[in-house]
Amino acid sequence: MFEIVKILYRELHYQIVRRNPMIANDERKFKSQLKNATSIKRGVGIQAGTFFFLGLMLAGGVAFAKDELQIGVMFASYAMIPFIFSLYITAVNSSYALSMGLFEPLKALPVKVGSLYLSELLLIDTIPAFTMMLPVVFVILFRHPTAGILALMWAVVGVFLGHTLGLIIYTVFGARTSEGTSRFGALKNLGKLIGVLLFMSIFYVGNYMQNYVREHIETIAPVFVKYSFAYPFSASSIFDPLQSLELLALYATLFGMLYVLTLKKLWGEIVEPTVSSTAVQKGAFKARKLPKVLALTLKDFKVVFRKSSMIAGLLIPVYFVLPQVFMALSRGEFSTMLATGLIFGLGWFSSIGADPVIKIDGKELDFLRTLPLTKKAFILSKSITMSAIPSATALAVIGIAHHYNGGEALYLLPHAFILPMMTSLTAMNYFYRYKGQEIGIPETNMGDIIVIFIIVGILFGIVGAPLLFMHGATGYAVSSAVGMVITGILVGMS
Amino acid sequence: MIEVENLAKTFGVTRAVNGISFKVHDGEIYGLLGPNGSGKSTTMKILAGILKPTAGRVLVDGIDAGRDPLKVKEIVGYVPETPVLYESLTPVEFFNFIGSIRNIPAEKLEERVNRLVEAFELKGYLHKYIGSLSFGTKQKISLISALLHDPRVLIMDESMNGLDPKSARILRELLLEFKSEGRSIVFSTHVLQLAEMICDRVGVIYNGEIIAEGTVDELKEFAHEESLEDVFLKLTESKDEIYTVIQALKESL
Repeated sequence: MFEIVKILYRELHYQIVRRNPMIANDERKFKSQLKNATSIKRGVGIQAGTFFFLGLMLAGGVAFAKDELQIGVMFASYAMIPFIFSLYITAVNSSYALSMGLFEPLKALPVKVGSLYLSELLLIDTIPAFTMMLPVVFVILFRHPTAGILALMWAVVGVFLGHTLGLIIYTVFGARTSEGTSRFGALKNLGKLIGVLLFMSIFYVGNYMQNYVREHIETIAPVFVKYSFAYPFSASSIFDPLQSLELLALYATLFGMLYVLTLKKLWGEIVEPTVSSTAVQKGAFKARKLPKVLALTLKDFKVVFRKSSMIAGLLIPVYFVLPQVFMALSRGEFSTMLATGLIFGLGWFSSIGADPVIKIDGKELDFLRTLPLTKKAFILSKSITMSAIPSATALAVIGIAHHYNGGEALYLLPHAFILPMMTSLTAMNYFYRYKGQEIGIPETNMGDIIVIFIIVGILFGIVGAPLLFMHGATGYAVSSAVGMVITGILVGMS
Repeated sequence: MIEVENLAKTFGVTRAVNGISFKVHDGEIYGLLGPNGSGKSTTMKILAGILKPTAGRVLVDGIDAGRDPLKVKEIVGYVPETPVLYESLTPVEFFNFIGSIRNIPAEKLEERVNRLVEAFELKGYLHKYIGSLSFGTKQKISLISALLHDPRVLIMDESMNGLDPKSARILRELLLEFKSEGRSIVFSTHVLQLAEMICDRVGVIYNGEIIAEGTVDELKEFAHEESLEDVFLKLTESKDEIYTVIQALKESL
């Protein structure tokens, strides 16, 4: 059975690599990329290693916890991580795997419940979230062996619960095919964006919970005891083995049944999806002409918002500045200088957005190549797409700074647009530095992103220098002017 | 008019197109026929300015496709054998996107889209995501998108694939109308009866080389065969092989 899952895993990753035309046209690169991408051991191993490292940081808190109560409560708060990660992976990746047509060949075969293969395929991707819990489990195991074994079992149950709920979400909402645009499409997309952002903030929430629990242990403990039957609070029962085992058995039975029922229902939905078509708009074609660059940008945004997994990539710069915003807000002060630093940081971290932006056009790049499209227009549109979310976040930062400091923060307005745009143009000029007008999907790796970080760092140094030597409006005006000149040069270079 | 001179294209060590030459005149439908992997699609992509030739020259209405592919793309409409479209867009969004990229005036775009949508019976699909549509409907969208800018040259790579009989007939009539307006059309298909019906001249490509060229009647005379299908099988050395394969299948099944 695992052989089939291995084939599906290979097929999924083969499809991803094949849709990178720059690699697909280079046989040597294609083969080498394929070798790494289709190996479960390598793919999962690298991720599991990274998550294990993150888990070590969580384990620190447990290692220095003063008593069993604190360890139990702390473990219960951490138990959210494998649960949410598994839920997210299952809900999002099931949609991705099925849209790739992975299960089409199985439909014609005498397979009773093919969704079991999907479930196993998705569970492979949840292994890293489980490994994140291992350092915590090891620390508990070292200090209290019985509680450690129970903690391990709760971590497994957490993954299983998240996975089952993810399957339910996909079966109820995801497997149904929406036929087209509806009046509430924009609202749905906004909801999706907020959902992804909230998910990405989970580690901050975890960190916040850790500090909160430490500070308010006396108040919180009774709540955890009172609701100890509900996951993740139930995980705090690791020091009461009998109750913990009872709860584990209850969850395993209940969710085991739900899992089996869901798998059957899901396979039915995969073989013949329910089509919802009530809200689809109707009417004749109305032309809406836009300049080339804007048309490309608008297309990019539509594709990104309708493929929720891509939003995560574009939100990464926001993720980097969130902790500073939270910290500043909790202190109740937000200076213009801090806002300046954050906007420079946002602009700098925009570099990471280059990878997802370049990958928006997968196999569709073959279509773009049939159009009279210049590399310059393509680069400019990608730069706008890449800088839109950092610019919007920068505007929000200015809004907060304005609330605390008044009009002075508005000096930063040009920077909110110039800095992310400078980064985006630098990244795109770097990746599309080859001669000729041909457009494509260049290979992007961490090394390239670091080079871009360095180049952007130098450019930001030049833009930021006037702020060090000139004070107030003059400094910001000169800095903006320098930024505009550099942006102009970068536009000219593209 | 399209002029192809000693065109060659290699991918690594594979020589997909091996020094072919042919001309497609204004007001002519030229059929490029060949078995799978013979170099048809590669040739057509070069004619459309998508791929660059390794050697030789392609002139499309006097524009060198290798040197100025963007200008060629402006006057060419290309329909691939498998529609590659943005599946998360609706046809309305997709046509508007193409209209903007090709700089088609809004009124003209609206008039052309509505006319073609009516002809190919796509009205009910305009606001649905392309990804949710059938292969044939996607092919119709691909076809319409290649015709929106009123191209002087049409390159159609097995574009009848997946079309229902009514749409195939409409497309056939459309091609004949384009021909009467003096446009050049390069057309590839595996449906040889169709090629026999609409192509003014045919080139048979095999292993990257054009092994025969002429009107359908000229080819029949040349190969001493009665149908274009027999001509094709004879020229591509498949005729005897087919009987051997069929015999072997009959024995094994």
